[in-house]
Amino acid sequence: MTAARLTAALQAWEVVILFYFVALNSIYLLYCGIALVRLIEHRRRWTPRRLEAVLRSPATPGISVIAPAYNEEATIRESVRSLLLLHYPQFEVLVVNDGSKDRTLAELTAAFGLIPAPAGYAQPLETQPVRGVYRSLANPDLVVIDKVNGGKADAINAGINAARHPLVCVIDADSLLEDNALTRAVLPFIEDPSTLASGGIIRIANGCTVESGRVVRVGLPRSWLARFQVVEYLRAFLAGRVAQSAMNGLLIISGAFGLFRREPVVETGGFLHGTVGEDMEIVTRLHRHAREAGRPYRITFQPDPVCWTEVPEKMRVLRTQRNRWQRGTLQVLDHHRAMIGRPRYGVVGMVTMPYYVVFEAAGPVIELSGYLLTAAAIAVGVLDWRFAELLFLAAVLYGALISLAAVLLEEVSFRRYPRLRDLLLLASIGVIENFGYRQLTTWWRMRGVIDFFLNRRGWGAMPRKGFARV
Amino acid sequence: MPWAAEALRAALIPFILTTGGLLLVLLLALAVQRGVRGVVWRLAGRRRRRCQPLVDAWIAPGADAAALDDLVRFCGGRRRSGAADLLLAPLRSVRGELVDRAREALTRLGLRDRWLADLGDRRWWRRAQAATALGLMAERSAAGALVTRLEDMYDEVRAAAVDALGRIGDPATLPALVASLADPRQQRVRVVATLRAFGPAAAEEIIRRCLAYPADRVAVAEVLGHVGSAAGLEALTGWIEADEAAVRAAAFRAIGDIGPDERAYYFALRALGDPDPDVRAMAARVIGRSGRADAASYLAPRLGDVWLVAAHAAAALKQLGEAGRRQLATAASSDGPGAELARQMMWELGG
Repeated sequence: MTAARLTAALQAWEVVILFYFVALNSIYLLYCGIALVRLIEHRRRWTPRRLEAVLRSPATPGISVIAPAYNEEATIRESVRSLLLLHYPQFEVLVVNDGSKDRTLAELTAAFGLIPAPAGYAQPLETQPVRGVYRSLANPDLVVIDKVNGGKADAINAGINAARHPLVCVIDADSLLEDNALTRAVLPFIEDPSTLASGGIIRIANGCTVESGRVVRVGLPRSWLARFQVVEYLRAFLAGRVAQSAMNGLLIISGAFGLFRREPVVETGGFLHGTVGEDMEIVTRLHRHAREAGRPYRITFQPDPVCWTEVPEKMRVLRTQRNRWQRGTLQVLDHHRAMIGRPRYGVVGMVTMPYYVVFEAAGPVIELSGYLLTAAAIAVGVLDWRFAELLFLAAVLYGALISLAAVLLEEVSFRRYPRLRDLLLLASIGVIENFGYRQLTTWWRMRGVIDFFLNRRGWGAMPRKGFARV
Repeated sequence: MPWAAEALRAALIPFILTTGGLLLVLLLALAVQRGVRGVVWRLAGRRRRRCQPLVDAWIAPGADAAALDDLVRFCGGRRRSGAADLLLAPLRSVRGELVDRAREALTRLGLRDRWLADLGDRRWWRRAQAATALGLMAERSAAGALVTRLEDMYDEVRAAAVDALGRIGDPATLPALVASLADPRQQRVRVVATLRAFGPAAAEEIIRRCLAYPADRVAVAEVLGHVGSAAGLEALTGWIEADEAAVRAAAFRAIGDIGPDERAYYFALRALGDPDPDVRAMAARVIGRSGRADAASYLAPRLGDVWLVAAHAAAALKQLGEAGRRQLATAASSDGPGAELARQMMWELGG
């Protein structure tokens, strides 16, 4: 009797896992389809000629670029130099040194000839005390704010306080923006004045050649760990975010590159302290406030403003990052749980957030239990080896199809990887990642779930090599 | 749920075969499209290279009709899209005789008629491309059709029509362009850029429209400021005494953008006592823009006002030369937000 029940339970779970796996991949395939249409449409719009019109117009809004920096001595010079060379009519760069323990401020002072300046601006958001404001006489558009450590959200808020322009662009100080990134990212704000925020694509700089703060040759990283992430990023940005943006259900604008209208961000209290998913949280909160106020709004993803970033090539660092991302997702979903499944919150409440709950928050739990129970089912003879093999093969093929579709999206839209060899390698990674990498990241995410419930906080260190040596 | 498990088992093999097949097809497509794309690119390049000397010969100063005949003969038919690229490319940054020559060549190549027809094409990108091309060649006969495209359901077509009308510069299209300012679907940035290209005529048309729709005054004031023509000053100065604070502030903001005349300057001095802080702030900005040293003593007390007004007053004092600097230096030695702002400005002045 007990054996029969166990068999039935395992079979039922088998169906649940299968349903989960088919649903997840099918949703992603649907995303790929939506993204394909959107990307082709996007390519036909906003040619360089039209970007010139934006650059020339006096009505183009100014942008304050905010780069929070914590222990970024390896990359800060290169990053700030790259920011100052951006092609945009009206912008300033605000680097917020968030109580770095290394030589970040000293590097900036030496590289840009910083001198102390008064801090004459309104401070609508509460932050940790500002120790000093520095400006560069050689680069009047550069402002460095040195403050007591308060975390990334606090640093961004300090930057928002000092921002002079109506739009704020939040980036990671260790990232490189392409010349025309701001011009392209600002387009949704020009097209539709109800736009509250817009995110750009994050691409992986490992393996690329960087000169004077610019990516001059795009290539694939040598590290397999970084290569896996290239495919992951293509899937997430070119398929997931393009499709979610098309539904106005975008929940994440990457902390590495996002453009926000300053006023609504200040109105909603700025970036939230004490969370590791501050980028997702602010977007969710903007959705929530706009929906509750009944205001028409848009939060969009633009696939062509590019921000290059360095990704971890060491297991330990990647593990910390994935753990943090998982905890961040859970924190935000928990914080805004009142929105989930509520029609009042539209697509966000009815589609995107439930998707995040099932596939992002509970994903590692379901996936890991799938692995464990499949092993148990084989061990007790409920599942035969042949079926388990076929199941795994189906999972690998379907996953690979999604990855290949993402690579194809890249190819039909932006073609950043000039060599066919690189493209084929990316396509093959869609298969290879299923043998170890996927299971590993699932485990790290699972640890994130456990740490969330154990209330473990903190960001963990992410040491950088520095772009010059990429 | 044994039946469900059985059904899944039965579906597994066909699923694997289908997915595997699809995977192979996509891989093949990935490789093949690269090759095809390369060939197409090379062919287009070759066509352009062959047409380039003929295009250069025709647009060179003093070219005769024979050069145009050669161009039309050799670059007609399938090569004409390459010729169009070559003829249109320089028009993005130049005007004058070159535009006339390009227009003549494009008309002889039959492209003008094709683009005029394309303005009604069912594919939006064809309509947008046609609008852009007709704008670049400043084709006046397209103005009417382009005005109707201001109502196109696709944003990009509307924006291309706005740009094109700006390039054509036909004053008869101004009312339609100005009316599109009130259309929330239009890209304001591009409408404003286009209106700027019309100069004072645009300001007059904007004001005319505003007389018919007084509720638009705030938006109109903003646009007048961006258009930057002194022709708008008269109307803006009239709005300085409007009942609504938002209109008064918008009028001062626009005057600050254009630069005040004598009358607006005195109105701004008076508005430093306005009950609305936005108006006071914008008035301070206007005074800063005037650059008149005698205003420094009126601005200095505003450093003790609410932050927004104080910030504008401080920035204005910075623009008033030695008199402003003296007032800032005095304020900088005290405490409070105004003093902090004064120190900021002193620092920016290098003192």
